[in-house]
Amino acid sequence: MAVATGTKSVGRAGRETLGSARLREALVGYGFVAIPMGFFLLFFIFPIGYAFYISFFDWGILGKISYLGLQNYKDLWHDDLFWTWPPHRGTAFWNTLYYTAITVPAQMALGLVLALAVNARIRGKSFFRAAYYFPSLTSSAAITAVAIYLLNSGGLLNATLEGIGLGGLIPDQRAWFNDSDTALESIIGLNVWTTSGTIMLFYLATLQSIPTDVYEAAAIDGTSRWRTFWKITFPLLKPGHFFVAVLSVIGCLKLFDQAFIVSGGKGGPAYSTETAVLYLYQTAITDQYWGYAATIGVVLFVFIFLFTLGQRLLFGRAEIGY
Amino acid sequence: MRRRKHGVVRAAAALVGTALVVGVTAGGTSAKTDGLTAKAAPAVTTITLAHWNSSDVELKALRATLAAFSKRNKNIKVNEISLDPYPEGMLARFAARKPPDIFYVDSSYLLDWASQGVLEPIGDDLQKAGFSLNKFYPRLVSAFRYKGQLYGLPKDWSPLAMQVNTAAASKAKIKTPATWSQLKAAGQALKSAGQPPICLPVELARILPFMFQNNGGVLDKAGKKVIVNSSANTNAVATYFGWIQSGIARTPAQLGVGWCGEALGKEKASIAFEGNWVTSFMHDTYPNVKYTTHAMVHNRARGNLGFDVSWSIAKDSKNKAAALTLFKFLEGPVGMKTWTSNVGYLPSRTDVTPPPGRAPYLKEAPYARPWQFAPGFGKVVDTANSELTAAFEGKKSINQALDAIQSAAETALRRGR
Repeated sequence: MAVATGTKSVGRAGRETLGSARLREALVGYGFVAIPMGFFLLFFIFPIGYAFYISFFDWGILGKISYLGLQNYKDLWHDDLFWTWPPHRGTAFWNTLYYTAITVPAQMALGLVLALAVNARIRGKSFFRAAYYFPSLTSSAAITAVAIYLLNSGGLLNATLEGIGLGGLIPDQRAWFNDSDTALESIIGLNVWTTSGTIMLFYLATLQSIPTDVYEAAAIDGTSRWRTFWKITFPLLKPGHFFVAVLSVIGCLKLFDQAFIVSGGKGGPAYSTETAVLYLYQTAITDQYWGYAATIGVVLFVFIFLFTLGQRLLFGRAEIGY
Repeated sequence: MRRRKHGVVRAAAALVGTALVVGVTAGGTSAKTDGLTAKAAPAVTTITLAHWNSSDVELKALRATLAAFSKRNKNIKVNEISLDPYPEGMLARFAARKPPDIFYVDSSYLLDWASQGVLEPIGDDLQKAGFSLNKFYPRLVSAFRYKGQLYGLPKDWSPLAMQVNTAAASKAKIKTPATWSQLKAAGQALKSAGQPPICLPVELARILPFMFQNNGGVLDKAGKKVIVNSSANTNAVATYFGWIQSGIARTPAQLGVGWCGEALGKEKASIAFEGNWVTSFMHDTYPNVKYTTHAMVHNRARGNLGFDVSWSIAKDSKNKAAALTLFKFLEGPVGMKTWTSNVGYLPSRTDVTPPPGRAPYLKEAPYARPWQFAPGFGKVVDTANSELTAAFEGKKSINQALDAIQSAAETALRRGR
């Protein structure tokens, strides 16, 4: 924004006008930002602070019941439905970590493969880019509802498996979302597919920022395609890796909607789809222990924060030179 | 250039300011005009009624009942709202202290809501108004008492009964089973004749009647002690799972349906154990499937569950008197007759003739225990379902599952809410 002030008047009057013009400009800026910032503070920052506050109380439907201090946190430490030691599938926390540990690498790998495919010089590049991104645009609730039908006892997947002679893969309970061995894994498959489009876009952006002379140099040296990818492209994608990893991990640790829809909000067949956020929801809505639910939220927040911090420290700033 | 920029800023500020002023005044004026109109006409109280919606038939029946009320009470206007999901919607309104005046409460969470103080105790008010409770089935009413106070009355109810597909029964030449051993024999006959199996879901709401039939249960008679990990329960659950694992019964998931009523309709099951809600469901969705309804099977004892929903009034309601008038109509013989005859549910009053063809359900009344335990047991039911599923899938033994449910129930009882 060009500021053509202070050029006409010189001297004391001119300097005052210059300062107050900048002030006015600043005020206009703040004025525009004020309303969205107000919403952000009211609906985002304030509830987080309030959740910290609530976690120290026994909080019912109508509000405060009694002050508990750190009792909620102590109860969570001993809560076998939330976590156990040694780690054991079927508790909210370990289910979530297991889900994250498998989904994040799978998502990143699939996203990278798609990005490499779409980045190559092929015909219909824009079509493929749009097609691979499309699942990310759809509502996760709608996709899960359709998946329930596809993975039903007599659904398309079972029919196909039986048709090609792989009927042995079908779980005992026949419906993939109703068998504790395959429920969470089915959600993993679903989410890897839907999110790969977004990850493909991130990697595509990073891929396209790699200067082509690096590849030219490699071609001159006569490197094979695989070596070019593994020794040149992959390391140069480090900013992409870091960014995608952080976002993926945060998103996976907060898994709720698919787990809720698939299990009807109950944590699925034999606790298999019980995730940390779903457990928080059940504690708040079914049991009306809002203070305890806030405690789970705070603990999850701290965990995700420390995890992201750790990733940042381990993998350093995502800056590299060519 | 500075002046033009300032002009734009000033114009924008003026626009926003005007919009705010106009909006606030309009809101204020409309509030004032409503008040004025209200004063001009005879005092009409508007009350809000909240419900959930399971089907079109139910909504039509509710509206017909409310229309019948409006004819008799021209000074009370009823605003009915449908909430989906229901508990979440109601909890938000309770917390905001702006609850609907009168609403549904399922017996499974009535104790939670009553213990948290969001429901109005109406026992004394009903007594003062001369509304008698004599005609209600006492067992059903007991589900809506908490700490000696009455928090609602059942608007209808249903136990479970046994539905048998006529064609499959005749092809397999089975007699109507009355005991567990007869049920097993019937299942085996159906299997040999290549007919669809029995449908048995793995959930507490369907396994519990079988536990009752074996003299087991979750809480003792007084409701103070947890008796989940008894041998009676272990045997009941083992028998129930045994039927499914031997192939004479299947779960809804294995049959590719959402619930056993759907299995009955799609003729994927020959025998199902569902409540009276399956009658209207079959009539509307699968009218060509012929089936008969019979009494629930029994073993050492007769046992059944009574699922009921009450009308209750909010503690924070601002129109309790009007809400109570509507309550008395809905729970009275005229209101209940209109409701049950339109929707096909069973009345909870003995002086209201039930819809035809429901005799087997009514005969279960003496054995039906409320689907309710103690405050804070919502989590216990979810734990029970997960543990029973894990035991069914062979991930743990039935005893381990029952022990886990036992400790969850004891913790809930100790916590008190």
